Amino acid sequence: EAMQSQLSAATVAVQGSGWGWLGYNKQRKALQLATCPNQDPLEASTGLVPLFGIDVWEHAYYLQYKNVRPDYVKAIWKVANWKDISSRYDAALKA
Amino acid sequence: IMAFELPALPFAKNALEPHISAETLEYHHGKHHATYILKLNGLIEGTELEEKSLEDIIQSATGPLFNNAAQVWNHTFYWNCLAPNAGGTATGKIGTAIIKQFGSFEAFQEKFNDKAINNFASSWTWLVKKEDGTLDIINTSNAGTPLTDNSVTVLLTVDLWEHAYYIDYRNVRPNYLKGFWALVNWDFVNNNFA
Repeated sequence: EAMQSQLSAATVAVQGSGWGWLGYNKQRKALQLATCPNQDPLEASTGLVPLFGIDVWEHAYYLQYKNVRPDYVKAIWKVANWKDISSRYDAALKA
Repeated sequence: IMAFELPALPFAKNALEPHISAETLEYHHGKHHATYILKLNGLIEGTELEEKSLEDIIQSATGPLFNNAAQVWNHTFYWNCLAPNAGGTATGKIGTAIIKQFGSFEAFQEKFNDKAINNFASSWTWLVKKEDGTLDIINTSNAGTPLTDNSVTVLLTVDLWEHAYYIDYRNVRPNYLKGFWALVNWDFVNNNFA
């Protein structure tokens, strides 16, 4: 829940277009949250291995949520594919 | 001491239809622009910035203060760039200047559209007048504004954040630009150009 609320807050706060990320820090061997502007790739710009990304370009949510980005970011957790996230995490641990 | 107020749209909410819908304006003006005002007021409350003009705040601001203040200004400017029963080929002094510099209005429009279509992500495209009197088409990102460039005079803008066109045009930004050209308030542009 703490991770969820921190990532949600950081993602909602992205200025303009961007992404919120749950990533894996290979050096510190730990999970780490990040945000990237526009289409900047997570791994190339931060070194983190991407596990779960939340797209907050307006096109990702405008039809359904209009300007209310927080409602979209709250709802995305209901469809987070934990199976995929877990397998990415496992792969990152092994790499 | 003054809190900033959301300026009224210079036209009725349905006045820009079919190019920009009343629904878009309800959200774009009523929510987005309104939220920038709210956040700006929250950031300046109880500080000496309450005494300053919007333009003065923008010139020295950074971070969230800049983002919100500049977006307040950008949006107010944008509404003034649009009008019902307007648009089409540029008129008056700016019309002449455009033809002089670009060869034709169509050639100018093509250059402007090219800049605007390729303006990546949340952004604005602007027509400005430089110190030497010539025109320039420039792009800014997010809340960026040529207001902070003291060497140019701002003439015209189009908001390219997706919230400006997603309801009416979905992802098809070129169609939004067609709608934009049907609404450009050349009187306002000429006032800025003078």
